[in-house]
Amino acid sequence: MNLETILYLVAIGLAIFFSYLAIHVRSILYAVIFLVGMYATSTWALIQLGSWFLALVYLFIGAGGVLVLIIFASMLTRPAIDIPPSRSLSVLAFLVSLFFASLIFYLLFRNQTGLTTVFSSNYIEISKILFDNYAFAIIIIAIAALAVYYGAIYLASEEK
Amino acid sequence: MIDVNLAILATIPLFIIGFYGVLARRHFIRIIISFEIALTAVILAIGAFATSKGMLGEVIGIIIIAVVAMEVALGLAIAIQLDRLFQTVDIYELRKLKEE
Repeated sequence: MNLETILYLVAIGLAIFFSYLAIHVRSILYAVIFLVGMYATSTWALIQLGSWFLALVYLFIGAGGVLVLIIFASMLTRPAIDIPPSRSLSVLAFLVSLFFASLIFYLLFRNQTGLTTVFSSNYIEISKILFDNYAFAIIIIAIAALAVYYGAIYLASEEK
Repeated sequence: MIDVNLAILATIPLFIIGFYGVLARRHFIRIIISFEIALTAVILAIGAFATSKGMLGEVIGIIIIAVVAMEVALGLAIAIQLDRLFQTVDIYELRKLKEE
């Protein structure tokens, strides 16, 4: 096992640790703080994989946009008591999660054997693919994003 | 060189934690946070595929990140509206209100 792999596994391990804490702490604001840790370590993992452009986009949108939204929403809603789940519900939820994760990753791995990383990010290539081959998808997503953000503003506004 | 199979396998616990949170927690914002964690595992898996399958993986990853941001924005707007209408964001309480 080389150094790159070890660093990647350390990053993923930290991301798992922070996400576990984000799920289990009682306060939503503390959960947000641990989510920052999860974003940072996931970005590190993506950089270790060589996908630095994806890592930067993820960090900017995740830590820059999504986190701010979550903080604002937790400040605008009253602090509800987040009661931990019962033991039976926890076990059931864990088993269902395990089943779905196994199913998804089994389907992913069915046709994948022995792949290794071969190159790193190239933003020029990414933009060429994005705006040449996937231009229609980008336009659809842009229109959907516009509709969603207007919808979110409408939902969150007090006067209707 | 990172083995892609190992890179994808390492994301499974992250996905399980996120999915577990979606199923087991009661606070609406916490559920959105859990959803975000599960989708992070997916983005990491796609990042791993991107290293072997070319830039297409990264392009799909960017599209997924955009969709996740939309989902969070809409989810949090719904959370604010729920709090305004029912004075709670606890999904068990909301279910009780529905039954009443």
